[in-house]
Amino acid sequence: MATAIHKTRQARFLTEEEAREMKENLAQTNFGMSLDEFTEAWKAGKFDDDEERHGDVIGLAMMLPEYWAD
Amino acid sequence: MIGRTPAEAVNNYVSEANRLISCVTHSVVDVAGGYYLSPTPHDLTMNNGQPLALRGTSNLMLKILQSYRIADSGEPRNSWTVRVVAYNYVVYDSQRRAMLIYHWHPRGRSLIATPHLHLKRGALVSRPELIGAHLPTGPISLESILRLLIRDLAVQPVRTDWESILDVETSALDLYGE
Repeated sequence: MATAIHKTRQARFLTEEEAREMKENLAQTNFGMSLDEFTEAWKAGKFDDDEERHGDVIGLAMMLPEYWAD
Repeated sequence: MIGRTPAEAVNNYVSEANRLISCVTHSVVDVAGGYYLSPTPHDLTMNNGQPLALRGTSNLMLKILQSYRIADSGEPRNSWTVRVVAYNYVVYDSQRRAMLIYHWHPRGRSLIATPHLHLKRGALVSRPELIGAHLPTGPISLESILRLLIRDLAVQPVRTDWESILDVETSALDLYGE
């Protein structure tokens, strides 16, 4: 049942360490590898044909500095 | 989303995102990076980047990620702005199979740099060429996705005033772009 009363909601601003931990958890949970391993595999194009996990691959890759490097 | 300082611009952007997602969850957004100017965009997500279970008979899950930059707006008064420069919105079915993936990832390994939609197996799509297709879209706002979930995909809102919140189609398209 929907409610009409809502408290002010504060976002959760992650520290650098917490952000790294979040990405590490995403790599472990979704791909069974460390974040560093994921980064190397992504750079090598090993997920390019992975249609089933496409959203997960792009979602984590977009969080990498390597994704935005020219 | 503008502000007099980088922090104010980010706070305005994050507050609005929080308000939008409050239509479907009591969770709040997670922000990685935050307030400082950086060549690498910052990240706005929820549920630690994992799919979040939504209410309703469809038992859907939602994952969101927006990459945003802080930039000089060029305006004298509200001189800082937040721009979303990429997004990844994924709707999963009850078995955590991706159904819909709304993408805009102008960088990276993909050759498709414009906004697009993927229909995946969770949408019960079986034609192989459709599974891999990049269906063109315009920029898709977060409120558009949330409206779709509630109006068409049987997600139960968690607040009664969701329509008034989500029907404000942002000046939002101003939010998207480098």
